[in-house]
Amino acid sequence: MNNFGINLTRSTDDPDRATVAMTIANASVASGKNTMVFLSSEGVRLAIKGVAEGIHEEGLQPMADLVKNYVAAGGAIWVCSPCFKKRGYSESDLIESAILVGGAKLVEFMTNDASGVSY
Amino acid sequence: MVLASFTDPVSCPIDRISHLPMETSIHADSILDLGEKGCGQLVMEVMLAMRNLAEGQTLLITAYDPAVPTDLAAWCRMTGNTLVKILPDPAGKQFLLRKGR
Repeated sequence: MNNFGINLTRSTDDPDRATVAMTIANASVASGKNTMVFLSSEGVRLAIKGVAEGIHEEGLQPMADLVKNYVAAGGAIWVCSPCFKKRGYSESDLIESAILVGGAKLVEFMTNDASGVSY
Repeated sequence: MVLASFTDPVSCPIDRISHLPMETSIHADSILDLGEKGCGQLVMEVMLAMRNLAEGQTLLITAYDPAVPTDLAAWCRMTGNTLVKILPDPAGKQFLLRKGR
């Protein structure tokens, strides 16, 4: 089993939880797993340009570093499309490494012998 | 390259790690001091360091996070590398990894 999905529903509203999720994502991709972070609900804000740079939970790695390293190592960032649109964002607001997806894409990934965690 | 010397018996709390009764010197092809780093940050830096090594070469890691022994053992099992041994260090532990294929 090489697919690992991380559902993240938090961002600026809960920097602790959001940072831990991205730390686990780093561990997964660095361990050779095909890793996908699914940003949903408030988590979608992490895919907005400049937001990660403003999150640095005390005692944990800065969010901007976590995102940069994760993407550089081949990790995927998928953004819940309805959650994104609901908050008034447009595609030009997205960081380069993130893509908008719908539920079917997530279901396909998770039912392809994936395991995962949710924050 | 001789990187460190030890006079205490080696402590190996994890299965399938070779036990050496006494160690006087450790040879490694590369070293990595991770200090208090742990979890995702630690394995990311280990992965990047191992990329620079050829199969069979070794990396000596110094790390103080208490979860590192179990994390590194799991990381090695997943990635085809070998955790050769764990050595005590005055402030934490040192880990000798050998790169697999």
